[in-house]
Amino acid sequence: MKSVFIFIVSSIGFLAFFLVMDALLLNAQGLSFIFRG
Amino acid sequence: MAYSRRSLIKLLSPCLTLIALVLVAYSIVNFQSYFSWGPESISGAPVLGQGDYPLVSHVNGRLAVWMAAQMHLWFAAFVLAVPIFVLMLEVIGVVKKEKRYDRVAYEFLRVSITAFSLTAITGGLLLLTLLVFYPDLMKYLLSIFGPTTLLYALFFFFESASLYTYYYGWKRMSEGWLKWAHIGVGLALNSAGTALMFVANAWVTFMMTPDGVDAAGVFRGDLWAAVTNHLWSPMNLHRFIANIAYGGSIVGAYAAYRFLGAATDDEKAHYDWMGYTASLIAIGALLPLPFAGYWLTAEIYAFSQQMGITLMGGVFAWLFIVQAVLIGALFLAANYYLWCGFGRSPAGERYLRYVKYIAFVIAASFLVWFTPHTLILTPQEARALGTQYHPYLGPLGLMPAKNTAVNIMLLFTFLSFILYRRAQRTPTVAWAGYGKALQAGLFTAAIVNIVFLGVYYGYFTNSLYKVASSVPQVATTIFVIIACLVIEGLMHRGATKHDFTWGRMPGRSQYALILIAVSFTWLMGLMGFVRSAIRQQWHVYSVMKDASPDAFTPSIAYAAKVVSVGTIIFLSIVVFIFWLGGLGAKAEADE
Repeated sequence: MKSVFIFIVSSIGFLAFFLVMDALLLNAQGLSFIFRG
Repeated sequence: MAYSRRSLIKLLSPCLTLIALVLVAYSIVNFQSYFSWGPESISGAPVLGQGDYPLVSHVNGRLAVWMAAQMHLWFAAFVLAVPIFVLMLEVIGVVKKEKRYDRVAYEFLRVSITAFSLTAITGGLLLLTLLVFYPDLMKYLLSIFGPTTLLYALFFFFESASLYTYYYGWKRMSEGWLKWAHIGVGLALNSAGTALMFVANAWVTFMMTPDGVDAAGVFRGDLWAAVTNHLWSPMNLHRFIANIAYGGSIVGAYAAYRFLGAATDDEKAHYDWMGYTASLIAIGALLPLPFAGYWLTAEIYAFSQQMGITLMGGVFAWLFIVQAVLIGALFLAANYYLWCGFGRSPAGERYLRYVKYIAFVIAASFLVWFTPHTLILTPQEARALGTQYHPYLGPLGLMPAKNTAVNIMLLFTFLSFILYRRAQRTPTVAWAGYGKALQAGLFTAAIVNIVFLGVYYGYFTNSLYKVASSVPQVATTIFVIIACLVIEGLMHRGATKHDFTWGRMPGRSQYALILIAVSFTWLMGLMGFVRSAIRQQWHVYSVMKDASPDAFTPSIAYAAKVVSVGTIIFLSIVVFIFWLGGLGAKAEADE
């Protein structure tokens, strides 16, 4: 039961982390280190 | 029999030295022009006519250069890559104090030693064909890159010297500080080899994205600008990673070849382990390769939108579909090999029931990846459909769908690898169940995020985000791989190890290793053609026009035939090298 709880909480937690990462990387400034100009 | 192989090496070594001497002599003869930048270079790129291209009866110049370049690149990729993981294995062997790493590293190097001579010979052949068929282009390139040819020759000498010291000194330098000195020689060998490739990459990338010259091709005198053109860094990274993957795949095929012919269980166990190690390196290097490819493509677009569109949106787009089929086949083969590996341990059987689900996801991703955007239709079919695009499958032909499919394919291949590792041991830590739940949460969140990025940013926002969303997709995949490996490592501290028998693999699994090597070879040839051909009618893009009778883009069918014939010739030579390697191994076993 505890494993199911950890699965649900970690899924939501990691998803939130990924969404923040997406926002940072999709910001033009965040991408400027990869794409020139 | 060992003497015949050594005699061959002795015979080839002078050839190698001779080619190096030719290179140096050529550089010295042109030495003055490198630094004086006389009227020749000031006048810019020459404007050529058909008569400026020497004709040799019964020989097609472009085809001769193409084949020589292709052979040289395949061999060069192999010989640059093998010493990298030979060195890695040697260091692991010293740190872990396990002789088997040393033995397999030496065997890897022995397989590649003949390939070194062939790399030098095909390199010499490439230089000769270029000088014969494209003298004015070579003259122009040398007027800019002259000093770098000297540098190339020096690296070449350095690499040859360190290679032979590394190989022939392996047994004499096997104990104490001499072993560390030997590792130092290996490091020098790899540094020289990589530097050599970086120099050659500058010439190739300058032809695609010239820098340091004006619109008429007049060299401004800044050689560093010409070297560090738009594509130089991404090409260096892409080739460096791809070479490791390629070298791993070829050595994996060698191990498979030897496994299939193994007479004893010990031999089978040795070659099974060798095949596994090599394929692990190949697949490990393959995982980040698409990301280096994204960077390379982004720089092509940044330099010239036109060139980028020719690459991805024009006729060459069909070769990306062929690429998808070959890479998809490669992933299926790699997964199949891992699944067969579950059988090395009785504990692995518990994971077999998951194989069908993983196979389904990988096959579905594979189908999305090679779905074309535009269809080749008969007039009747086009009328019936009313458009060039399929109403339901059309969106799957766009890059966001393909990026999503590739990342999911990578994640599920990684999942196969995790299950394969678990087939060998069971964790004993109290929190093992929670660790697995955490990993499952990580995978679930990552898949949701990758699909969200692909669908929302790929189809419902502007085109800037369509391209840019691939970066967080990649970042998600990399994060999952690293985080999962960390959790896995902590969870398996003090784990119970199961009976694990190397060599307990069905013969058919070895054909998967051979398929991986063939796919890699074919893929490099086809995609190398695309990269080079997007220059279209230019020798140096937008600076120096190709006026030869062959200044046209060949049909995809023709290019595919040339590359396929090249692949067959190259792999036939590789089989010959394997045979020689086998003779060496047998002779050593007899001693």
